Amino acid sequence: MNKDSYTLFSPEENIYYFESKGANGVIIKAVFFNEYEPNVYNMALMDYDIALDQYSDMSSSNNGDMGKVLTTVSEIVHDYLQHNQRHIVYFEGNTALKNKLFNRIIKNNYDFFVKFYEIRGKKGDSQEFYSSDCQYDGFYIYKK
Amino acid sequence: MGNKIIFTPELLQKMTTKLKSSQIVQDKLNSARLALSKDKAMQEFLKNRNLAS
Repeated sequence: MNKDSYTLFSPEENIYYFESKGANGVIIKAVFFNEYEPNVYNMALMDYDIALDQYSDMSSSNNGDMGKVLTTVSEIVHDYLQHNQRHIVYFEGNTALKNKLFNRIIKNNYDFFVKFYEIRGKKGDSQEFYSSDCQYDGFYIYKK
Repeated sequence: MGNKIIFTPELLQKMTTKLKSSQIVQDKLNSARLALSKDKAMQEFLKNRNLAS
């Protein structure tokens, strides 16, 4: 991908942590892949608050490092699928902002992803092969 | 929020335990299941893909 990204900590093969560093200090981001159908894994992206020992997926951290976070999450998806080649990764945003973020992750890194993966975008109750002209509610990514 | 987080084994353990029991994660799984339950074409694709493996 050759873009600036954060160092990853991965205590288990389906869990990744990294530090977002910016205007609001250091924020821990967690990415968790969890199976919900045979070979299909949901990807959750959340913030962790050390003081409260609590996860949140509602916050907008506004840390001024969006590009670096997007690249890091893209690298996580790629790393995970390289190690789990039969898995399909699904993710969707629970808010309009998070959905926009996920659409940007795919759009900004499409040229890289398309070399390795099929990408389907969820629209309503169905899905289609990804088109950069469209906004999607969710994404399925899997190795070609 | 500090300037630097030290990912000690203890902190990683604590975060991971909390992560696995998180209601947010369960909610996301339920949402993903619901999306799939409404998508017959994707269900068929998954069935064929798993059969082929």
